[in-house]
Amino acid sequence: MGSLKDKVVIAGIGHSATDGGSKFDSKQESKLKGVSDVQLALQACKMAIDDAGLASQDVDGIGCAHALDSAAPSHQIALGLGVPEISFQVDNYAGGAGSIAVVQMAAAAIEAGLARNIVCYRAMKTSTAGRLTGHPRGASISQFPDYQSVTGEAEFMAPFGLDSVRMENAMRWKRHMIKYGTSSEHTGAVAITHREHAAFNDRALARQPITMEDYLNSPMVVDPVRELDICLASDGGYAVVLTSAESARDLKQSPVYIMGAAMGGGPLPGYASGFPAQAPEPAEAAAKYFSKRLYNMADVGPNDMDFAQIYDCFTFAVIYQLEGYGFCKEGEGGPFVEDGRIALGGELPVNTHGGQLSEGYFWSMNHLYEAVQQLRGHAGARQVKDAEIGLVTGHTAQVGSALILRR
Amino acid sequence: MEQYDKPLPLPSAETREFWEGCKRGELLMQQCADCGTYRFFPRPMCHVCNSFSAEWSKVSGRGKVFSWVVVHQASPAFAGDVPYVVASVQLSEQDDLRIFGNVEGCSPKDVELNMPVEVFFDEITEDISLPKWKPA
Ligand SMILES: [Zn+2]
Repeated sequence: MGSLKDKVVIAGIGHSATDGGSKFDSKQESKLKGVSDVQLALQACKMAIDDAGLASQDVDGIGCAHALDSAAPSHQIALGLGVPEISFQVDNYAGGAGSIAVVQMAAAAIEAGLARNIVCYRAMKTSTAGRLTGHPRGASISQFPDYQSVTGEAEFMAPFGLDSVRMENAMRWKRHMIKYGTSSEHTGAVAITHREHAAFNDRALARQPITMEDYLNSPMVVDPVRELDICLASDGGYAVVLTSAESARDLKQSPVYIMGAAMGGGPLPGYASGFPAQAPEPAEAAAKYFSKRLYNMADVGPNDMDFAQIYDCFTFAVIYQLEGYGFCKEGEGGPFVEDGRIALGGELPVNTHGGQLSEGYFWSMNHLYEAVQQLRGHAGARQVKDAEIGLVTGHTAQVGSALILRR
Repeated sequence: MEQYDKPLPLPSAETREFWEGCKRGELLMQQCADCGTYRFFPRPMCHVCNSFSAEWSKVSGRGKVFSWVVVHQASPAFAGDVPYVVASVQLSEQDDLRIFGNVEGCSPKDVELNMPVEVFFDEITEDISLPKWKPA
């Protein structure tokens, strides 16, 4: 089997202006309300291209991920940047696991000689547009006459008031709690740690510290999931530029190398189409199916990670993945997050920027941005000392994707 | 009677038999005509033997709660129903044969893992009866 190890680098990183709510479904005015997602994507891509020391005319590939929306599709970004000739283009319909998967596809394309400099991005407006973009499957008939009938998988969900990703995920989490005794204090520890990290990050949209009492008093949304278990609603975009290790020598920044890449899942994978009723045991985070491939390619193990930027759509998604990526045994993710183990200065700092729970919800392209900052030594007050190797993940209930990066 | 204001299924060629069954008070599951494996939701191919031929078989309508949630903050259509229970019910016919539905007829607090449940049909319109669950 071939290997991507050390062949491709992240040469540039960028982000747009960001804004949004401190709450998962906030409809508060975002200062970016009047700014399109295409503009946010372009801001992020332009900054990443500049950061790499390239010009838009050097770009010959574009990739992004979406799900139920079609926010800022790649052809609009290529048009906006003025890319002279496209050699690689992908719009990956894969949910939260999609962004990191796109970066892998782009890296493989560069290694295979299909393209030279590829920009990967994700721009979202969940603060302004809400979470039901294009598909309000829980809408009432009187409010949304166009959606009074649901079809496909939604036929067997929406009529029962099962109409959001958080409900499906809460159902899986419930089994983890029962099977392993994972508690609200465990998810609370995840929420609190993310907020602590956000305090050191100017871009974080939720920086107000929280206590365990605040967490436990946070209103239930879908028992066992509280408001503070759910990532933020936010507007903004993040981007990276990939190029070959060879061409990176001439560029502006010190390169960050892709050591390992893997994606996948177990039986019945897929976003939405994986009909969660038939999903395997909840503790079977998708990562468990591919983490061995990931570490094999990189030729390192979990203990070599100086940090982990883990896709955190929900607090418990972090716990599943700590198990799936082998930082602890299956079922032991709850106790693992106790005692400051995942905090800055702890054994495995997780989401040093505050993650999607506290920085913003950008499908972990912000996690990738933070990982590169850490490996360049540019993370300021939240710098992990001597960070050399780190993990970045994407995740949905049933599929995942991950990169191991090194400086 | 007030107008029913929640989303309703729009049966397709693939799902029509299921909803016709519900209307008659029968829970039907798609079953592979070659290897006998049940599957749900409805789809064209058997995931075990890849056969395209299937029939609709009446099942017992009995099962147990595989997992569940209690919804406290709902979308607009269901805001008047909180707190309500949505469960994943594992049917007695096959271990991985599961269907979502509301559990009614007991307090949300009384729902438990593996609680035995049986189907009942909530007649919503002339065409649609929704399969729901109550303690068995
Ligand atoms: Zn079959």
